[in-house]
Amino acid sequence: MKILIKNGHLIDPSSDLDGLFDILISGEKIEDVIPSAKRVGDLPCRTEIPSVASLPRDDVKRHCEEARRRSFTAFRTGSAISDVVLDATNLIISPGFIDLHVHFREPGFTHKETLESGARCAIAGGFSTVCCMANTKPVVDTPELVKWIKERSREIGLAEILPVAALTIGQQGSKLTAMEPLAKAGAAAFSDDGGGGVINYQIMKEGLLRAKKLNLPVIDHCEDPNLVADGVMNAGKVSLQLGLAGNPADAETLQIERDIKLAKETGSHLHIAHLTTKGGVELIRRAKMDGVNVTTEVTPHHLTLSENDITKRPYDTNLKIAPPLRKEEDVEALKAGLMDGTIDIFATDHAPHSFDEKSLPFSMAPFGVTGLETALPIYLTLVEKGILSLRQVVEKLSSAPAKLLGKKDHSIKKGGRATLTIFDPSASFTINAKNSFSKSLNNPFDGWKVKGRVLDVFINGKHLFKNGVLQ
Amino acid sequence: MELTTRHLLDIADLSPQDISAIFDMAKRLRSISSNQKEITPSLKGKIAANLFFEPSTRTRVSFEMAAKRLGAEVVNILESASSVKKGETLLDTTLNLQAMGCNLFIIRHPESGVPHQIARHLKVPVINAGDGSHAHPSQALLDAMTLLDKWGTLEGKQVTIIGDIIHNRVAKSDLELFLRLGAKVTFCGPEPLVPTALRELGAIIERDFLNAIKNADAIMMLRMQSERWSGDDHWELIEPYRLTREHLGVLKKNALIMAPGPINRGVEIESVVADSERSIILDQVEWGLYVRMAILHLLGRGDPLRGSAAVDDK
Repeated sequence: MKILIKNGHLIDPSSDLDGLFDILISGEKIEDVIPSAKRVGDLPCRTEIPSVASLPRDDVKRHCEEARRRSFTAFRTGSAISDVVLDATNLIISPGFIDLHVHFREPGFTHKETLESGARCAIAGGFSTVCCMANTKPVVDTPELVKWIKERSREIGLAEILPVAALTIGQQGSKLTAMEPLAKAGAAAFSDDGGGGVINYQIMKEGLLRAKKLNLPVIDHCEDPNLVADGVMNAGKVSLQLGLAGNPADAETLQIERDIKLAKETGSHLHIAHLTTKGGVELIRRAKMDGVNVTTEVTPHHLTLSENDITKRPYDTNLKIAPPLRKEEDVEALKAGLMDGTIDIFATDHAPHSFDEKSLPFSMAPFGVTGLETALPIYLTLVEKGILSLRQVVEKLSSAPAKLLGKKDHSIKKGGRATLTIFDPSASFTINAKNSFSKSLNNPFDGWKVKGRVLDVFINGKHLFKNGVLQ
Repeated sequence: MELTTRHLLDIADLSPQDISAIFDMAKRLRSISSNQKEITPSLKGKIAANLFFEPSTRTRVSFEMAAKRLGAEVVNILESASSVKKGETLLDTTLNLQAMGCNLFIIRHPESGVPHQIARHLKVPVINAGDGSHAHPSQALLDAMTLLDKWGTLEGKQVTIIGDIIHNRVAKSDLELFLRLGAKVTFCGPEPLVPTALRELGAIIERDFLNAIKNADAIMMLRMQSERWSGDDHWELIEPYRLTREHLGVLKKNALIMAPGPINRGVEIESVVADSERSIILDQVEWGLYVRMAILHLLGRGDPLRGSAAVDDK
């Protein structure tokens, strides 16, 4: 089976392609990437035209004429080469999106999400690979569990699910896991995200050193639990107004400061999860200038929402997130960090929680929001505001996280794997949390009018998401 | 006259007209009552549910008496004796009561924001009778009403609130309402209980007790909300912030002494002071009844489940 994707705007920063290209997929691979001769303006969007091979003999002539008139690559290049032609006029083609930070809750909390429901969300959001955090029950701290998740990922056959293994046993922060066997089993990184946090300086240092030997990153959720204390939202005017316990920005920045010091000492790759503070952006900017091997990510919600939204939607627990939504000035600093490259990648921190759990009083409800399915349109608001170019958005969604994970083959090129996402950047729609593939409804953007819809996802040539429909 | 808001969750819900309407109605109800005349039972046939998930005497009884004097029936639900103990969520409890025909909910809860979260799902009015460290709007309205009764206006007056501000919902609602009525509000206490960041809400912060009381037109003494402390023992901190008989001489000649109640005699306020002529603590309680009647009357009539009541307030 061959599929020709025609006239799409291909953006692949890793192979430095940005323009109109026709992509011919053959089986699992990309057979060819050819510049489109010219834009085909008269083709209605999304029509699929069967190739001559599948047409009755009488129709062939008419079809050939029609196709010639429209200057198909297939005919330009002299042969009818594909079984299916997918018109991607006015659409963007990107390498499959990669999300370094999701919580799929399986094993242990399958009422919130499962590997399968999570993988569906991923595909619907345009993601071909996601890395799931280890804070399940049991915690992913054994090679068996790592292998099991990889096995399940293959069985489900949707987005590739890469397990992030716990850095410490049970994510308790006191004893390092068997990192080498975990790496051999296929752990993509090490992290205690969602657990207690690694407070012990010596353990964190040793963890970083061992991860370095294994050539894997350590991802740290930077919040000092002693400073967070009972905090359920950012500490400041709004928390005082709402009578909610505050979580100060220092809880994040002090931990980042410590981690950077350790990364500098060890030379290990440190990845700071979901950056939220102005101070944090400044620390990482400086560390990068000093040549420290540190990378970081930012979520859709921390880029678009602030503590003020909790005043506008009083006690909406879908705004309860860890780290918390910060001040407007922090949101601005995150955008600046994206613009100057301090922030390397986008990550959703997709964290489903059931409706019942989120119906608890604000101070008791669990932290976290979903985000896989709505990530693209939220990130695209940055393009609209002139903060990032479309190419930068694609890069932070695909090639940058691919590089971080050491995925060298994640680009759209001749002979490469046919893993790509096609989206319409101008399709507008209203987000409805109830229309999600997730088992949970806790999307903070419910009701938002946005632009940017994922239409097709190919993974290794499999057309898993077809014109907005999961296959 | 109806209020512009369906629920009373926060002072911010009220327009300036709403606030005047509540005060006017409270004054009218008090004068009818003191003239031994009968009050029109404008909530006759209605059922008010008093849901109290935290201990309360004054507020619960005040709302209950207010609702009864307007002709409503009252059901009292206390957490210790409700299905919440069997694992039912508070939202389910309220939805069940609504299904049984409750027309109005009065909710107190130890966690900030719970009345907001409930109100989002109910068709009938919700009155916040105090939520966590957040707000207690009916208390702020009765505090302001008591002062208006004494002074005629709050414009330019100095109100000083002393003690455990951070945990206190009354202080925050008072601040918001008093500022809107033109008063200056000073918070006085030690840093852990009176964080400097409260300045951002419009309060003046004063650490020195004597400075705080000597220029005040009214002083409100707050109880230490030990039930909301997370471990730390703050008793020592509050020692310099107790109002005793020695201070009476420092106060302005006509300064008034208030407390939202309950008071801890001998702790934040000495009995001699609490019972002195300057004290208007019991006036607050009396006005509380009429202010709550006004709130119930103005909110309860606009009940969408029943349409407006037959009896008007002429």
